[in-house]
Amino acid sequence: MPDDAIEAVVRERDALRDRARRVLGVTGSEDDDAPPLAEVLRRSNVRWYPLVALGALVVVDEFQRTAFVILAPDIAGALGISKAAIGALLTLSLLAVGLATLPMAAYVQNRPRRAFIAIATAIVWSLTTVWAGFVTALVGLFIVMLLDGATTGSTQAVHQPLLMDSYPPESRVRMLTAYRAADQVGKILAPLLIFLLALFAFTWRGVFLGLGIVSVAATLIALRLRDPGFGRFDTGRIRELVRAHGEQVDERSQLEERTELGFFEIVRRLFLIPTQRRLLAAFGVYGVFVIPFQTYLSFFLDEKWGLDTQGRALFGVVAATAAVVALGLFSHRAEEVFRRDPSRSVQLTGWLLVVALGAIALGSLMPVFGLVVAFFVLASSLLPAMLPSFYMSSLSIVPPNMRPHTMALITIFITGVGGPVGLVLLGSLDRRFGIEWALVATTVPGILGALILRSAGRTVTQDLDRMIDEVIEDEEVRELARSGTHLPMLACRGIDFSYGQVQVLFDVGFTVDDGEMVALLGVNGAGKSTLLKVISGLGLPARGSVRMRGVDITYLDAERRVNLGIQQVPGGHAVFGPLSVVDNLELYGYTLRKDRRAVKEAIDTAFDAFPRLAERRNQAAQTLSGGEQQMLALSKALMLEPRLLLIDELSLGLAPVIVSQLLDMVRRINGEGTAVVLVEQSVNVALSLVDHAYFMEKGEIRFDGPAMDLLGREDLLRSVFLRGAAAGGH
Amino acid sequence: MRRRHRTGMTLVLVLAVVGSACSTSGLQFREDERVDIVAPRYREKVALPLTIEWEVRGFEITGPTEQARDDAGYFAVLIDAEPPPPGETLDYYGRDDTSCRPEAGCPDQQYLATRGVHTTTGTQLLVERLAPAPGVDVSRGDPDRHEVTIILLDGRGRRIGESVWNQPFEVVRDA
Repeated sequence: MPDDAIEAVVRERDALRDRARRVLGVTGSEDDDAPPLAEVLRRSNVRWYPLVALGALVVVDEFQRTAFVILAPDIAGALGISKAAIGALLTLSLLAVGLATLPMAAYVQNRPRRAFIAIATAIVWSLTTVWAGFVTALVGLFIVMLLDGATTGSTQAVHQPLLMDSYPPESRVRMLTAYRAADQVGKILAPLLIFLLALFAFTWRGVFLGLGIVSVAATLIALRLRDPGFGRFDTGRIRELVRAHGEQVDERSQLEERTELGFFEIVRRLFLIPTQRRLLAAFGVYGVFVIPFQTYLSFFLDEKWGLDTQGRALFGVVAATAAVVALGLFSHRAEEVFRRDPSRSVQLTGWLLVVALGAIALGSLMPVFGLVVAFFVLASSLLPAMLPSFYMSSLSIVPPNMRPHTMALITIFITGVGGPVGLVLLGSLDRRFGIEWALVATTVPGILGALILRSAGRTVTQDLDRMIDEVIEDEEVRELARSGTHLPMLACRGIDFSYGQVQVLFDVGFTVDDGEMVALLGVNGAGKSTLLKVISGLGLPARGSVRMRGVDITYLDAERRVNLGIQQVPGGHAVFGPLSVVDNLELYGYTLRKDRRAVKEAIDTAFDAFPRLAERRNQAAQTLSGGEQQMLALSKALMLEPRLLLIDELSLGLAPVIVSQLLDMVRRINGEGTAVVLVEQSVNVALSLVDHAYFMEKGEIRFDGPAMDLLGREDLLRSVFLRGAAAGGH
Repeated sequence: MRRRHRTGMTLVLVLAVVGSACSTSGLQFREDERVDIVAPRYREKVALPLTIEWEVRGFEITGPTEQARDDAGYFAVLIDAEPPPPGETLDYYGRDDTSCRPEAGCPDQQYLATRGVHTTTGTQLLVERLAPAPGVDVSRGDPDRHEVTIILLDGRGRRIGESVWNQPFEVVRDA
């Protein structure tokens, strides 16, 4: 393609990406103001109801646990159970919150059922709160706390992803802020209600009953909540930008359904996003101080300043009120910062964290109670205020159906990773240096968290663009499929791959069509075997896509790719050494499931093709010669008849006569319709078989064209082993 | 079908467990105001010996009898001890102690006193000695905090209802 044509394509792609960024609410313009919320909602024809419904639920979701914490001595006294048991129940409940997010994320990952989960769990936790008033034994409390924790997990796993999909991107930071404010209102309302009910001489049972009734009422408000589907306002709109005719087509091929990512595939995929890794680390660090903070603050106010239960509850109410005010003040500004530059949004979060922790340190050391209150209230208001930008950054860079998983991981990193570390850390500091210095010490993980956020800020725009590119590519491929364009059986595009910090593949593009046989050539360390790993799923790329007939299989597990017909014969000894030849073949046949007859017939086919294997059928594979081992490895292809066979270094170290036999077999396999990718260092071997070749050097594709043309590329062949072969007269 | 059956069975099992741990009778939804601890006051700093004192109304002090009434009986005063479950006698405190054999009259008053459990038909109790709270190093100036709890026992010595009254206080010791 001429240079100016390439430039035009690049320009068009950049313009499309720029429009897509705007769709995602990122304008990049310094003098851009966020449009008024009411106007955004009117323009997008959406209502306040989802926010009100989810807000109502998050207000009441903490009722049960708050009541349990405040009323713990009364419950213990009434039922005659120990404080240790109460503590264990609270821990259990927190653990259940974290763990319940995982199955919830799995339940909604391929079908938008988040509203159902939100309502169902709210019904359960409301009834559980009522029921807590009738518990008479420890086992009852155990079930109550377990159910409450597990159902409260839904606020973490599905509420914010649902909110993201219910509102257009240009309003999302403000919507998340409003939701966090509702969470703080819950922190005000719960102790207030408990106080009021206690004022009217209700026991803890009466309090649970009262709170349960309020919770049921809030759940009734949310009953009309509906899931708007995944990506209606973001990825859906990006797809519209790509679509020529603008109509949405929902049909999904059978292959697409078979390649939907499973739970662990999604989780693994999330960990491959650099910003997500950093943000999760930052959330972990956040958990180190935020989980023990409330407890230690409570002890600090009690021990150092003699605040009783009511005094501490009042302090909590003041702090939560200040948080609501701070969220209100930050809301519009946070939206604008995200619109202008998501990286600045992440970095702003880091700065808020530093200021909040500075306030905690100063508050811990102040000699005057008024200043203690001022600094701690400042800290307690800034910590929730930073969360909307924190969550927005994390949720914006992943596809909508993966947001529940992201939230689940965040919850686990905060409560399951950071929390326990923080409790141990602050506990030991408290014992050694006293509670005020334990609180001062929270600045250390805080500064670490701010540094991680700074680092995440550097990659967030890049990862946002990556997500946009993935959606654009996916829709472009769908467009091609709809127009009847032939799609190659396998297409790799823009593949980057790293082993740890060392990148070995750079923007690799590679295509194989049905029944084709291509050679992948290059010196040792060029990245050929790594590319095969990316295709077979043994390695996952940091960037780029692998598509089979246009369907994205980039993050699909290797074993699922086997079922799609992708088989790899690894380089070297591709056999199970200690097993006999026949056992190896039976093992290969595992994808034929329980069809024993099919396995037997397939083994017979392999023995027919390689009579020497039949002679050594009961011999351990490791005792076979190199050539015989390769025959055994190739038998896998014969047995399973894959659509695509990836062969790594077939000829390495083998005698020419053996190589010739193996190549005959490769020809036969290809002749029966299997596409073959032959990775070779020997051009003699490779070019004797294929019409099309790729040449790799230092992780990049340097040649892609007819095999014979490669022989004319002295610039590539000169420096490598092929020179002699080229001169050898092919 | 099998899956539905399994889910149903699990649900029934959970409901059975839950049902056994819940009740709708004998539960107390409103505060019981029959007892009021007047000394020590909330978080009061006190020296030893200490007198715990309370007022009572609507409860007839009969001491141990053969009657099991909700409005008559005597008091158990617990210092830093958790109360037994409703309906239990004070034998509850010896349940996990193999050396405390019921046939030898255990737990007796002396045994209970070592665990901070006292019974009385009066409305005050003199505490002459009280060990520092666990983990407290008095020589370092740690606050020595304790809690007194009063429960009602019927004539047969069983705890009446779920009512419990408690008061935290701090013991100040001579240097």
